[in-house]
Amino acid sequence: MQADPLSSVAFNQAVAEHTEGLMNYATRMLRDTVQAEDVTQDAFLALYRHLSQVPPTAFRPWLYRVTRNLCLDLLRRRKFKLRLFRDVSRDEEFELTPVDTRGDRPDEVAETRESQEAIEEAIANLPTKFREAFLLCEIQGLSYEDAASILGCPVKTISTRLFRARQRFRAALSNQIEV
Amino acid sequence: MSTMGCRNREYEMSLSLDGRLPSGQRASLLGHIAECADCATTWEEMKKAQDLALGLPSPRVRPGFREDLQRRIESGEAAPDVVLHEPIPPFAKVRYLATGAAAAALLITVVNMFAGEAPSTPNDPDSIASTDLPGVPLTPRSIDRGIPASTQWQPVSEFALAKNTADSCANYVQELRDRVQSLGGRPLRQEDWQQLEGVLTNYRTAVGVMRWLDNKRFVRLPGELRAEFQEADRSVAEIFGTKSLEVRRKHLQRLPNFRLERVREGLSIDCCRSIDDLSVELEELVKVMPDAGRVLQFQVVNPNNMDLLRELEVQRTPGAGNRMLFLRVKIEQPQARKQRSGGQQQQLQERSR
Repeated sequence: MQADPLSSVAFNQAVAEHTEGLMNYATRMLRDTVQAEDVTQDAFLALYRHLSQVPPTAFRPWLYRVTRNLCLDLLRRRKFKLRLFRDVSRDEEFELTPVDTRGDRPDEVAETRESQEAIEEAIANLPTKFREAFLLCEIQGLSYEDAASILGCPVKTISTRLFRARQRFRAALSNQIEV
Repeated sequence: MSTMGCRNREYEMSLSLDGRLPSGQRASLLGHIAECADCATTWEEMKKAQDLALGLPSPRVRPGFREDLQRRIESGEAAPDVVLHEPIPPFAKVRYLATGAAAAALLITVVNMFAGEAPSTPNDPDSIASTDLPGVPLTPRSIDRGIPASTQWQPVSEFALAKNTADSCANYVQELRDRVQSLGGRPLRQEDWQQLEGVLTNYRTAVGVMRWLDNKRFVRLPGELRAEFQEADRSVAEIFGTKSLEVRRKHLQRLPNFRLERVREGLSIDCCRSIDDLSVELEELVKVMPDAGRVLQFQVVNPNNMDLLRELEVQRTPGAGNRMLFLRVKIEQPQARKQRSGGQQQQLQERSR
């Protein structure tokens, strides 16, 4: 059975529009770009398999919901693996976001890299529930309503968590943002 | 000096960053910020922190991502089971059992048995945290597995996709034109926008695909297709009176007929490469759509100056992407603006006493 042409059009559009955002979100959830890419692809694969059930206007929250579930599953399995095999060591020093250093002076490059690492660290250190709201709303720009449906909580809870996340984020980066 | 009231203001600032604060409260907040040094500092810090978060570069997928995805689709590969429900950690399942919920379910089952009804199945712990997205029935147990490739998506050449999409664009434009004409020529109202929203969404989807194909150089649109696509674009612009505008908040504030307001639907413009005088262009827009009460939302394309955009109250609209920002403008009667600004002035005076 051939897929409806409009669905294919909508699917192609979804891939074009949301790949970067999903990759960004998954990377910050997993802190691993390779796994994040796999998760992003899995999410689109899932969307294609359920095209008849998901209206195009719901693609975005649906994709983020699926991506979140995949990330949580990976994180849980990752933790489990660490508990089971105590000799597993993870190399925490990886670069999430490559710094474009073309044409920059070495001291500027170092400063930019350090600044970005501090920001990444501040995000990673947020409590899980606050971080999820922060990633979805602040970084990815989803609405409170979409984030609420993805995280399975009321809209008011999202606004509160986001507020708290912003407070802590600001406190963590006080030296960079002091006015 | 911080007070209890200032602590509440911080939450309002957070809402305001997302465009969630009603305009009256926002005006009150900005008035307070103008008077309170601590809150002004907090406000600036919040905006700066947001800039830092949004300024992080995004990781990219490697080349070949789309081709790999296509291969997986064509091979009939199923989606992972976990996509459709949030994984429940083992200790949470144990906790669920320990709270007696299972005992309660068992009781219900027993009662139903004695009442002669079929026993109801206790909730599957795996589905507890699963909440359906609106309008999207999720069925964790009904995932396709190993569907033969012959029944799957047949690869369509990019040219055929472009041709189909261009035809779709023309169809949607015709439908838009027909619907607008059916309104009898009266100015469009908010409820009219809602009726047209579905068609507009389809049209924009098709346009997006065309642009994507063109940008990716997957297909060079032949002359007649390009003309057809451009004609569709022009027709929609004609129907809704799209205009190119550059905006500046100071000019907006001086204009008697305009103020910034939240909207749900609007037009796209290209904007914000430089600051320019808006008053002339907005007055022209009023001539095109003179009815007061119209609320317009302009999508800011490729913004590169967050301070300027904040000054213009450009905000993210619910449902918009990370890079999609919107400027909202409401056309209103001069009298309504005078009354409101008079009321706000009175409020500010009362607070300062």
